[in-house]
Amino acid sequence: MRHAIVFDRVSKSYRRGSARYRSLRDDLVTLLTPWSWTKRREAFWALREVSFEVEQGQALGIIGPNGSGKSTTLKLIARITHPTEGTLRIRGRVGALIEVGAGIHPELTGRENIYVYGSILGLRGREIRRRFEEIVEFAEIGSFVDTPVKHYSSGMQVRLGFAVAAHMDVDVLLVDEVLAVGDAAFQSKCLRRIRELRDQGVTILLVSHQLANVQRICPQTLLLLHGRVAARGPTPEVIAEYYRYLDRSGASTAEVIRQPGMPASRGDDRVRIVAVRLLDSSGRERPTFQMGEDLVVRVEYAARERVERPQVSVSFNSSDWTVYTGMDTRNENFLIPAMEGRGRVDLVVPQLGLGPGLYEVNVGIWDETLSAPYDWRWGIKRFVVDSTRPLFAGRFVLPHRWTWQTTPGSEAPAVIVAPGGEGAAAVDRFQGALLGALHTLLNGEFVVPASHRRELLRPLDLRASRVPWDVFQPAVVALRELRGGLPHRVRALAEEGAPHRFLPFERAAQLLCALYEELDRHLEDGADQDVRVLREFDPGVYRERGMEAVVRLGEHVREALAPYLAGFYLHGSLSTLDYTPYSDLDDFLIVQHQTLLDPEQLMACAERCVEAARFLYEHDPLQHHGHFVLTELDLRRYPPAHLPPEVLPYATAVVGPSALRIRARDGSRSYRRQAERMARQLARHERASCNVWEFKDLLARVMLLPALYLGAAGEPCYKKFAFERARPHFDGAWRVVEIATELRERWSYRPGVREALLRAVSLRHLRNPVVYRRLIARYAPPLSPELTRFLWRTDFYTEVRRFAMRTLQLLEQGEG
Amino acid sequence: MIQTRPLPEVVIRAEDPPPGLVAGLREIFVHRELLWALGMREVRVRYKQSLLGVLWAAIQPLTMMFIFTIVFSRFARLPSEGVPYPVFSYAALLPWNFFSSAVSHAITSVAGGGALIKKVYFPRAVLPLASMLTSGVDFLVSAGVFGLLMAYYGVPVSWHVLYVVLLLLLQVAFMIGVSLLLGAFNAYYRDVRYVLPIALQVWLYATPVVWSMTLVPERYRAWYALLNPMAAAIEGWRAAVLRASAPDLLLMAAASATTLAVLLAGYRYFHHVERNFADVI
Repeated sequence: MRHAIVFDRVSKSYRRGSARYRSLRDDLVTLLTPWSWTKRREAFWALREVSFEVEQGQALGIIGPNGSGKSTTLKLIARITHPTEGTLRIRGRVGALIEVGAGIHPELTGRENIYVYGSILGLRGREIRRRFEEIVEFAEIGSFVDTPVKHYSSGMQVRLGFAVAAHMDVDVLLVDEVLAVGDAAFQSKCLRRIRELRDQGVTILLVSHQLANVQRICPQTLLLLHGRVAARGPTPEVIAEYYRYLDRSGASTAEVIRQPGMPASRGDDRVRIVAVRLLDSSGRERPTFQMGEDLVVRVEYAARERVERPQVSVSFNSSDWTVYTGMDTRNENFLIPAMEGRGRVDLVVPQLGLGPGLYEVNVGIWDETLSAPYDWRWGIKRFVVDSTRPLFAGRFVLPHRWTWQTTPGSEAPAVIVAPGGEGAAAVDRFQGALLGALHTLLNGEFVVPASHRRELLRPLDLRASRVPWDVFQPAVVALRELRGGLPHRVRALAEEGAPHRFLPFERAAQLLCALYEELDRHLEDGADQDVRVLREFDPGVYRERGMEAVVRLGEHVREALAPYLAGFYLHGSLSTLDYTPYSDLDDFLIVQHQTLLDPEQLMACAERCVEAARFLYEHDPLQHHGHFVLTELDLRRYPPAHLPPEVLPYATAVVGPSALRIRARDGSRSYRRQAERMARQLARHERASCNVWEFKDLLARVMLLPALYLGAAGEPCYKKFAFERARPHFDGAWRVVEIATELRERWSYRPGVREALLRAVSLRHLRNPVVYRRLIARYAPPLSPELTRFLWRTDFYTEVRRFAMRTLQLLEQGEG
Repeated sequence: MIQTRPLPEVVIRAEDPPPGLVAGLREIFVHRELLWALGMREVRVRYKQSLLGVLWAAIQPLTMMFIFTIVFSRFARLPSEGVPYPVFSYAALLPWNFFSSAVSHAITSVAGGGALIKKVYFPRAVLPLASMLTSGVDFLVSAGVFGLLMAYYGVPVSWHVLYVVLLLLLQVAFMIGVSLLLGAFNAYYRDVRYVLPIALQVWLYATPVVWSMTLVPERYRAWYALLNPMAAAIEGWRAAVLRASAPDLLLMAAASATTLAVLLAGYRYFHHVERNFADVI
C-alpha cells in the first residue's frame, strides 16, 4: 500500500513571545544595537522531529491536549505553513476543513459564496457548477441561496462552509475540529459525509477533542504530546494512553495549574485538606468517568484543632477556568457539626451530567459563614468525562424528562430507561438471544416453512403453528451460563422442545414468558428511572404521498396492539420508493413489560402483529413489512442514542416476492446453503442494464448476506442486529453496504411509477410468481441515468462481487 | 480502496528554496479561477448596497479633475499643451488613479487576507493580483467616462490611441512589482500601511499629472523616467490620446528597464517570504 502522507523528522518552530507582527522600529533597534544580536529569541517548537506515515485510504485520528501540535501538523500538510526542519511527502490533492468558512463573505449571497469559497478551496468553476445542487442541498439553505450570507443564522453559515468543503474531489482530507460546530443533526450528517469520503478511498486526518468521534471514524490514531509523537496505533489503545497521560499530568500538575494570581492553597491552616479522591460507584479511584456514571468526590481532611460547623465546597471547572458548577454545604443546608482530627466528606454526584471533556476539581473547607477558608485548593484534581453517546451536543446535561401524548387527555405510556452501566456480559447475551426469539415470535416468520409472502395471505391459526426450537436455544443456553442451571419451568419446556426441534406456539409463548421472568430478575437491580418516549407514528408523510394503506395500517396497529405495546414507530423507508416501485416498511415495536410475562397476552400480541402484516399486504401487495422489536426491559439497556431514529438505518429488509426464498430459521446448515447460493450468484453478477425492480432485488441480496453469514457461523441471527456484528468479519469488503445505505438516503421519491404498478398488479398476481415477475418487469422503469452514474462512480458492481467473494471466503474458513 | 490512478506526489523539504519563476507562474496560472473569483468578489462587495454602485468609480476622478482644473488651471495657470485642462488632467488621472488604487489595495491585501492565508493554501500572490483586478474594473468604468469627456470637448481621436494597450502593459507590470515588494514587506512591517498614503500623495505631485512633462528639461527626461516609470506612462498617455503621436521611445525604454527590475525584485522577495506569511500575519 502506498503512503498518502509521510512525515520524516519534521519540526516546526515559532518565535515565542514576539508580537504577532514586528514593527520596523523594533527591528531597526535590534539592528542598531549589536549587543542584542547574539540574544536570539527563544524558539517555541510546535513540532519536534515528528515522523509518521499514513497509508492511502486510511483514516488517522490525531489527538492530544491543546498546544501539542495537532493543528500545526495539519497546516503543514495543507501547505499553509512551511516546516522548519525535515521533509514531508504528500500524494494527491489535499482538502482542508480547517475552521470552515474562513472565506465566506457576509455581503455576498449564498450562491456567490459557493463559487468564491469553492475556488478558494481549489475547486474549478466547472466542478462547482456540477455539484451546486448537491452543495445547496447538503447545506440545507434551500430558498436562501440568493440571500446575502449576513442574513443567515450562524448555523447556516457553518453549514454552507462545510457543504462546499465536503464536496471537493480530494485524495487527502484534513478535518480540524469542525465537528464541534452546528447542531447534533448536522454534526451527524458531517460525520456521515466524512465516513462516506473515507469509504471512497479518501485519506482522512481528523483532529478532534471529541474522542468518541475519532473512535467512530479512525481505526488508527496518533497521540501528540508537546510536539512529539507519544503513541500511534489502534484508536482505543491510543485513547487509553491519552487518558493515562491526563491522569499522570493531573496528579503531577495539580499544584502547578491554578488560576493566575491565585495561590494553590490558602487559609488559616486549622483544617487541612489531606487528599481529594474521585471514586466510582464501586469505590475505585479513577481518572475517567463516563457521562451518566456516578461520581464521588471524597475530601479527606485533618484538623489541628476543633472547628465548629465547617462548610465544604466543591466546584468543577474546565481547563479554561470556566466554573461549570459549584456546590457547598451551606447553601444546601448540609450540617457538619464539627471537624476534629481526621475525617472525610463525600460529595456524591449521581449520573454525572458533565459533557465530554477535561475537568478540574476545586475543593475548599470554610468557616461557618463560608467567608474565610481553612483550606482551599484550586485544581487539586483533574478528571476526564467520556461519552458513549456518539453525538453529544453541549457541555452538560440538565436533569430532564420527556413526555409524550397520543391523543388529548390520554396519558402516554412512559418507557423507562436507565443509563447504560457496566452490565454483566452474560446478562447481555441472554437478553440479546431473548430479543431474537421474541422478534421471531412477533414477526410471524416461524409459521411457514418458507416464509413466502403467499403464506402470509392465508388465514393463520397461530395456535396450530409451531416455532423452531433453534429460536429459543441460544436464549436457553445463555440462561444456563448465566445462572449455572435452568429453572424448573424452563427445563421442562426445553426437554419438550429440543428433541422435537419445534415447540407448539402456545408452549413457545410460555417458554418466552418464563425466560423473560428470569431476565427481569437479573435486571431488577439498579435500573433507575428516566423517561423516554419514542417518536410517534406520523401519518402525515405517508398521506402526502398517497400511501393511504400505510396510514390505515398505522391506525390499525395503534388500536389493535395498544394493549400490548408501550411504543410504536412505523418507519417506512419512504426513500426506497425512489428507486424501487415498492414501499418498504418496518415497524418498531416496544413491547410492554407485562405482555412479556403473560403467555396469553404474548400470543394475542403475536396474533395482532401477523394480522397487521396481512392487513397491509392486502392493501398493498408490493409491501415488504418487517418488525423491529424491543421490550421495555431492553430499553433500560439501550443507551438512548441507539433508539430510533438512529437504529433504524440498520434495519434491513427481506424482500422480493419470490426471488429470495428465505427459509424459516432452521439451523446453521440451511443458512450456509442459502448464503453460499446467494454469494455465488452475486460473485458472478455482472453489471447489466436492469430495471429498478431487479436492482432492488440485487440490493436486498446484498443487505441480507451478512445476516445469512452470521447464521451460517452459528450465531443466532436476526437481520436487524446482524449488521454491526457482521461488519468486522467483512473487513475491507464492507463498502457495498454503505453504498446501499447511501442509496436509501439519497434518491427521492418518483411519483407515478408505484401507482401504475399498483393499478396493474393485484393480489391475484402475487399468488403466481411468474405472472408477478413479468408484470413487475413491464412496469419497472430502467435505472435513471443519475443512479447509473452513481453506481458507476462508486464502483458498485465491483464492490458487490468483492463482498460476495469475501462471504464465500468466510464460509470456507468456517468449514475448516 | 485500491487507487487505480497514480497520484502526483509533493515533497516539501524544510531546506528547499522556494520554487523558481516558471513554477511560480505556472501555479498562479493554475489558480486563475481563484484569482478571478476573488477579484470579482471585491467588485461585488465594494458596490453592494451603494446607491450609485459602480458609478462611484467615475465620480472620484471627475471630482479630482474639477478641483485640479480650478486650482491649477484657473489659479495657478499651469500650461496644458493646448487641450482643455479638464481633458488634459483627466488623461493623466485615469492611469494614475488606476495605479494608486491598485497599489494601495494590493499592498494591504496580503496582511488583510490573514484569515484565508492561515486556513487555506494557494499561491499568495493571488491576493495582490486579485485586488488589481478589482481596480481594473474601476479603471474601465472611468475610461468610459473619459471617452464621453473627449467627445464633449471635441478632442479628435486617432489610431495612436492603440498605444494605450502597450502603456497599460507597462503600467500593470510596474504595479505588480511594487505591490509584491511592498505587500510582502507589509506582512512583516505594518509601518508600510501608514507610509503608503503619504508616499502616494507625494508621488502624485512628482508625476506629471497636474502639470505637463514640458516643464522638465529635455535632457533630464530619460533619467526622470528611469526614476519614476509612472511619469513615462502618463506622458505616453497624453501623447497617444491627446497629441495623436507615438510615446517617446527613450522614455519608454527607461521606464521599462526600471519596471523589469522592480518586477523581478518584487517577485523574488515575495516568493522568498510567502511561505512564512501564515506564521507572521
